This record gives sequence, structure tokens and C-alpha cells, in this order.
Amino acid sequence: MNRNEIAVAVLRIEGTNMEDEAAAAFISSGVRAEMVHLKQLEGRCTQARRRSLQDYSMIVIPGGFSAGDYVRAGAIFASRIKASIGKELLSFVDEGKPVLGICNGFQVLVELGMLPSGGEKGELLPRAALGTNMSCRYECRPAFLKNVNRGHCIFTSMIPEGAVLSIPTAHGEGKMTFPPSRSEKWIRKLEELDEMVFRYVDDRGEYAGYPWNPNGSAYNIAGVTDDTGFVLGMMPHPERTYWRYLHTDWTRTDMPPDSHGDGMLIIESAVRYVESHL
Amino acid sequence: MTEEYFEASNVPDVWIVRIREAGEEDLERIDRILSLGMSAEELIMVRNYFREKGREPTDIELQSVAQAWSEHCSYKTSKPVLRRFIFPLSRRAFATGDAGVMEFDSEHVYSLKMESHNHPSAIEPYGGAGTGIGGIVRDILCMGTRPSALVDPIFFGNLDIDASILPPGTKHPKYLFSGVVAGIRDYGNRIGVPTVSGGVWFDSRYNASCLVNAGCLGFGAKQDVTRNSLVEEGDVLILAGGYTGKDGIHGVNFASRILTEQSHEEDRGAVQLGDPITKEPLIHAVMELAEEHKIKSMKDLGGGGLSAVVGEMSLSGSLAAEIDIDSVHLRERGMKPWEIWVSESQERMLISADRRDLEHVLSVFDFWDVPASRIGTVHKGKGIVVRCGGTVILDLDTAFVVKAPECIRPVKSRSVSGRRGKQADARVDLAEAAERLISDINVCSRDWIVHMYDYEVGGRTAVKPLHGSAGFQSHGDASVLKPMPESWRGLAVSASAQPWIASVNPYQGSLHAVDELCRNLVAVGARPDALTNCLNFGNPENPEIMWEFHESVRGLAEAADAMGLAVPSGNVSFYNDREMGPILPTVSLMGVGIVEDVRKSVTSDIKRKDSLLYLIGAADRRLGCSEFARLFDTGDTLFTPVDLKRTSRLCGAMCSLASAGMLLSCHDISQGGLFTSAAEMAFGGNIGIDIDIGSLGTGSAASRLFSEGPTRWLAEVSPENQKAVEMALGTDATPVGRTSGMDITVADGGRMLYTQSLEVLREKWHSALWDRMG
Repeated sequence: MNRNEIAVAVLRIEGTNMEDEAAAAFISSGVRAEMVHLKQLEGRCTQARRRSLQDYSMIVIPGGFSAGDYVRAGAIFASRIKASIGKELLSFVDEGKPVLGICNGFQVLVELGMLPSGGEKGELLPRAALGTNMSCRYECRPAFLKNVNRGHCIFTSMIPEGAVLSIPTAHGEGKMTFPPSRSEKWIRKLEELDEMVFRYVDDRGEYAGYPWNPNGSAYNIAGVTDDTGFVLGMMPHPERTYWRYLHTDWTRTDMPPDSHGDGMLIIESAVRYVESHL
Repeated sequence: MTEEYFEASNVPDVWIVRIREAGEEDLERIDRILSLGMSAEELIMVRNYFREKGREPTDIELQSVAQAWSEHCSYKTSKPVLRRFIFPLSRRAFATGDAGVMEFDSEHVYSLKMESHNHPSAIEPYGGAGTGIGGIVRDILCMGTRPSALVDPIFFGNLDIDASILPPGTKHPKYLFSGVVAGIRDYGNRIGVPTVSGGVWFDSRYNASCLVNAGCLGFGAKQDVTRNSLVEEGDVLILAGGYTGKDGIHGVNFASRILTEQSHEEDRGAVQLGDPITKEPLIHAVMELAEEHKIKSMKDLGGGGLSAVVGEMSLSGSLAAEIDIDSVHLRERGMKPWEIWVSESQERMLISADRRDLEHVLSVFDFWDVPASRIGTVHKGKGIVVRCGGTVILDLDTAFVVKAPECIRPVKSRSVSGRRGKQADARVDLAEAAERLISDINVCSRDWIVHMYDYEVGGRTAVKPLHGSAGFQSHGDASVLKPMPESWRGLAVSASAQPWIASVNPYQGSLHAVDELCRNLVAVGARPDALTNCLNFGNPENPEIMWEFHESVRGLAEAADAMGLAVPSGNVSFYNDREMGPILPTVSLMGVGIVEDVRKSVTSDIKRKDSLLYLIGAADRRLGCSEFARLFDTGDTLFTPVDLKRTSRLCGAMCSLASAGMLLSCHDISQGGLFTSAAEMAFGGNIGIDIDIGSLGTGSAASRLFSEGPTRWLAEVSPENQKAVEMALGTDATPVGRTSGMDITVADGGRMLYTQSLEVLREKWHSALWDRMG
């Protein structure tokens, strides 16, 4: 598929508010990105606005506060998806098309039960939670992520294993939490199945506590994939460092401000995958 | 209702009020019963108006006039002063209205506006601050520009004060502070507009009256800029957004007087309830329609509700409006017509559109799940008519309702000469002074607050409020946005206030505030372009307060004019005055600068070791009104006045140096003086600094280190640019040290006065707010 033929749907409902930067990042990579309201996929709109998942090669669920996130973050958006296009979304992934959930989008994928999978994939029921940050605070701050994926996830194909990326976070509920009695087992399984993707590290690349692990996530988990490797959910925002001038320290590094930033690698990996496989 | 004054009309819940025969005492009683908040003279004018009309008014008519004539809506006290000094400074604006609109480039504009939300925040800090954001965002939106950044200067009392000292009914500053920050966080983050700048000031004179000023910066295309006035006969009026309920009734009247012990109970209903998740889709829907040019004009519903917005759109468009009050979509049953008319329920916009576009406009709102109803029509003429069940319940001349009689209030001046006070600077232990200052509540790190705000949602924040090495970011002077993907042109945004200087000399206070604002903008490499303001004062019926206001406005206008800054919008908040006395006269400013190339932005973090540090500006030894003077309670109020010619010249020079890439880092010198600026630069770069103040003349070390004299910066320059910088600035640049190691040291002509490790000092600076707030 030619790059300029690739269409990415950036999915939104009321309160989704990071669709601009998500779409901008994909547009910068040379693909078409369209912001699509869930109503347009459900058909609750005029004919002119009607869209179908089949129109797209990739779906991005961006950050924000969907429906206000007044209950568990992402829960309302997830239940609306489940009630309308849930099955279509699963077959979308089965067709090998990538789905990226960023921040609130990751919360939606967890609430949908699409992530983490750990060999238990099946029903659309949550198996883990992104709990309230250990600090009990919403926080927007820079973070460092280590790519721990060994090659299963298509979103990290351009990132060497062990490489550290600077990608900021902004959330109040991002603590990866498994059922307490099975936490260890989950972590082992995710590692075994290569479904762990990013872990928080400090500025020297070492695993560390708050604030480097901004939410107290189990095992410093920042992002995970599923059994297919086509779905990535992550709390940090790769679109917010697509360009170097968006990094918090760009005025003190030698890299030109108009060059690509660290977040570009994740987006570009996915685009290249679609280019060569779909 | 008292029968002698009120008589039932043909419409349920609408009363005819007998005022034509009422004497002064009767008028006052009517005023009290209806909570109108009008003065005796105003009541007589209303009575005479209806005598001439030859009929009695309805209660909704009286409410309508009372809303419009409130200080909050009419600016009746401030307008004569603003007209003389400030209004001429909007001449460079591309458009004015609910927000000022300025040219960005040949096809684009930015808009700016700031508004106070002081009274509601003092009663309900979380909701008050949230709706403050909500309101300012609508002001930007109704110019046809997209809300792009928030700026929030906030002012509180002493966080450590014993609650029993506070006047009854006053909430503790700590509670107010944490509630306001949470309100800004939850509203701003939810609507997806980044909070990029602001400031927090603490002083015991805000103990009983906190200030919450909410500013917003918008961005858009010239061709989409929208008017706020009715445009054409036959157009339809559409009310879109939140449901109208019983919240925020009499909000403007309550904001136009002093809060009392009972306010916290009685005025609760005057506080509005915000809903960011109605606002977020409302922004999408309105911007979609504005870009399609389906909106002829619009205005947001804020203070005074429908009553104010219909009146103002009618007056400025010289057209009449007819409203069907039954068409307004309501949140609750049993609302009386006058309550619907004056309710300040949030997230609402009034839109005028071509009749033929009505279906389309409604369908766009429907797509975004935003309630919208056609509630009226535009007619020829100059009046406002409201119908309920077909019967006319309000029929007023627009000019009479909206144009409140102005007040020329008496003024009484005070002496503005400062006094030396006790001189503590030669006696203090320098290390103790330095470390107490760096951890002072007005100087210490703001990261406890800043990280709770999403400062980069939208992906346009190139220079962030905390910038530098990840994990070590420090205070910058201004944030820089890159609003367009295809252009490197940017906007710098900053805030400033100098309430302590203003309390001694309000005219100089404004000059210092403008000076600081310009310092902040040029420090990142921006050319100052426009400012907007919130002018927060005590009770204007007190002639000394009125003098403070007059002098502040005079200074603001003079300084803005000298700096070539446009003032296309502004806001006034009076009656911030309680049992404990008035607040400090507080001119709070939000400034915008143009950045020619975002890639050349300068940030405050020290970039490398072995570079040179220059103090740009004059050596200053005065400590009057400084943080040092307050910390050691010296009572010293002798400060260096601003010389506007000098400010203008030095800002120009700094701008050129920044764009020529001569400055590795730069930070303005403000609260806490040279020492604080140096320390903050070192924190952000995680690189030490050796200061030598021997070059700054004689006088105590403390006076040279902690003076907050105006028009000064600290800049890091690489040795290879030393000659060029010294050539460009001449005697305006004084070498004051180098960068090196991991310590902060201070020497005087080689004699070491102070050494501390960067890490220890950073911890003191960083933990001060966390320790208090948790």
C-alpha cells in the first residue's frame, strides 16, 4: 500500500481532546489521518458524515477525557464501542490492521479487554486496570521509556531492543494494575509472550520509582501489546514528541529542532508496517 | 410578595411592579425584595423611564435593567477612566469585542482576553475557577478563534495563617489555593486547552479576598473572525450549549459588591456550575460553523445571562431582538421567566444566523450532541421584546437598558514617596538570606502546580512553562506556542503583576508590571505585541481605592504605549474588599509576543559549563518592596522607578541578540533578585554557577544580590560571543560570573561569600510548596 493511500482514523467522542496532535503526527508521516466521531461509525449521523471501519487501515484512539472520565477513565468510551462497533474492531485487528491507544485510548483498550491479552484473549472483558496514580495526582511530565519488546510488536520495529525514548506523560490514572494474587504471573506471562513493550526508566536508563515511574505502574509498565502484536496501548504520548522541538530539552541538545523526535519512531514503525503488509 | 408593590400579570410567575408612584423608601424596599442591587439614583431613573412610558414595569424588566447596570456588566465606574487612557490603545487591533484580535501574519490572527472570577472563587474555589476558565474560553470562541492556551494568574493570602484570625465566613487560603488549582486543572485539562503560563502570588492582604484571573489565547484565520453584534433583520437567534438552570442567578450583582459573612450561605446560588464535557463539543461545533461561515455573529452568555447578551448584541448592531422565552432549553422545571432571562448557567452561546441556514446550524449542533434551540428573531428597530406564551413580558429600549449611567467617583490621593525602613541587608547572614529567599513561598518552585496542568495538549507548546533537562526543568519566563504546522512563526505568552510596588505607588506598579511582562517575552526571544489585563481593586466607593485605580490605569496606558503594546481587551474587578481591608491594588497582565522563528527560542536553563554570565541592565542596590524586604520585615519601600525609554531600548537590544543566537540562556531578574535568577537557571540545566558581584559596585552583598530593580536580565553567553555581546550592549552588560561544576557560589571581587551544592539548594527551592500542600 502506498503511503499516501493509507488512511488512519483518529477516533473520538465528547471529551476526547488530543485528536489534533495525534492526527498531526500521522499527517507528518505522510499518511492521511481523519478525525472520526464514534457516531459516524455507528451511523448516528447524516449520510454525508457516515464512515465505516473498512475505510481505514489503522485506528488511533487518542488521549483526553472521553465523556469526562467521571467514572473509571475510558470506561464509558469502551462500553459505547462495545455496544456498537466492538465486533468490527476485533475483526479489524484480525485482518492485521494496527490499533494504537494513547493515554485515554490505552485506558479504553484495557476497559474493552483488548489489552493486555497474556494468552487470555476472548471476551471483551477487562483483565487489568489502569488505576489512579500512586501520587493521587494528575500529572503532566516528561518520561523515559525503554523498549523491552523483542520484535513481536509492529509499533517498535524501528526501535532497537533496550533503546530509551523520551516521551512525555499526562494522566491521572495510569498505574498498570493486575489482580493482586496474579500480578507476578501476569508480568511473567507478558514477558514470555513478548507482549510487554515499554517500561519507565530514569534519565540514565535505569528502572526507578516516582517521578520517573510517574504513576507507580506494576513493573514500571508503560505500554503493552496483544497476542497479534498489532495493538499497542501506552500511557505516554508519542505524538507529543513527533518533532524534536516538542521535547522538553530541545534547546539544550545538538539535534536540530526541526528534525524528528523520539515519538516519530513508534508512528513510523506502524506506518511502515501498513505500507509493506496491507 | 408584598401586595402593595406587586400585582399578578396575565402570565404565571410574571409580576407587575408598581413603581411609578413609589417614593424613595418604597423603591429601596422593592430593590431589596427583588435583590436588584441598584442605587437610589438608579432606581429613580428607572421609575422616571416607566413614568414616561406610561405603564408599570414587570419584574423581568426590572431584573433586566439591574443586570445591565451592575458594575460587572456596565463598567460604569471604570469606563470613564478606561476611555481616557486605555481605549485608544486598541487601535492596532484587527478586531475588538469579547476578546481582542491581533494580526499574526497576513492570513492569521490571534486573540487574547483575561477575566477575573474572584467572587465566585472565594465562595466555591473549585467551581469558581473552573467556570472562570469556561467563560474566558467562550470569549475567545465567539471571535471565531480557537482557544489555544490558558494563562492563570492567581493570588492568595498567607497559607500558614491561623484560621481563627480570618473574618467569619472566610475560607482558609490553603483551601482556596488547592481548590482553585484543582478547578483550573480539571476544567482546562478536560477541554483540552493547555495551561501554559500564569503565576501565584501570596500576601496577607489577599487573606479575605483571593483573586482568580483566567486568561485565554486564541488562534484563527482572518476570514473566520466573527462579530459580536446583530447583523441583519430577519436573522434567527439560536441558543446553543448547556441547559439553562437556576445556577448563577444574580451572579453579576454579587460580583459588584463586597462579600459578607453571610455570602457563603446566601450567595451560593449566584455561583455558576461548569461542565467541561459540554464545552468541549461546543468548541468543535462552533468552530465548524465559524469555518463554514454559517455564523453571522455570536456572543457568549456570561454575567447577566441572556438578558445581557441580547441587550449588548442588539445595542452594538443597532437592531432589535424578539425572544420567545419558552423556547429556551431548561435544566429544571419551575423556572420563572425572569430567572431564565438572567440565569448565568454555563457553556452557552447565542448565535445569529441566516434564516436559511437554521436547519444546517441545528444539525451541526445535533451531530456534536450539543443542545441548541432557535429562541428568537432579529428585527429592525432598537428594542428588546420578550414573549412568554405569546404575551409580551418585556419591552424595553435597548439604549436605556444597556447603557448604564456612568459614575464619576471621587478620588483621593496618597503620598507615593517610599521610605527606607530598617536596613537589614548589611546585617543579615548571606547564606541564611539566600536560602530563606529561594524557599520563600513567593519565589519557590511552582512545579507542584504546573505538573497538574496539561501544558502541552494540542502538541503546539514548543517552550514549556517548566523547561530544561527532563527531571530538572526550571521556571522559564514565557511559554512559546507554534500554532501552525506549516510555519515556524510562534507566539510567546507570559503573565506579570507587581502588587507590592503598586501598593506604594500604583502608577509605578503598572510600569513595573509592563516592564516585567516585556522582560519575560524578550527573554525567550519574542517581540512584545499586545497585552490584556485584569484590574483587581477594592471598593471604588472609597476615594483612595478609586485613586489607586486611576493611577494604575494611567501607568498601564503610558507603559503599554511606550512599549508599542496594543491593549485590545481588558477586564475590571472591584469590591475585592472585606473586613480585613482591601486587596493590594493588583494589575494582572497577560502578554503576547511574536516569535519570528520558534527554532531560535531562548530558554532559561544553563546550557553548558565555562560560559560567561552577564547582568543586562543596571546594577541596582535598592531593596524596597522586594521579597527580601518582606522576608526580613524591613518596611523598606524605596524602589527604583521604571524608565520606559530605557525599557524600550533594552528590550529591543535583547530581542536582536536572541534572534542572532547570541544568548545560550536568559532569565529575567524579578522576585528574589539576581541570586534567584541565577539559581533557577542552574537548576534547569543541572550545571553550577559562580557569581561574582564585585563588578556591580559597592554596597552590601545582599542589596546587590537580592535587589529587584526593573529592566534587568541574566544571560549566559559562550566565550566566542563575548565580544559581540559586549559590543552590542556596551555598559548595559556587566560580567557577573561563569558556569561551572555542580555548586552555586557567590563571591565579591574574588572573596568567597557563599557556597552551596546545586542539589541542596534545588531541594530547598523545590520542596517548599510540596511541604505545605502535600
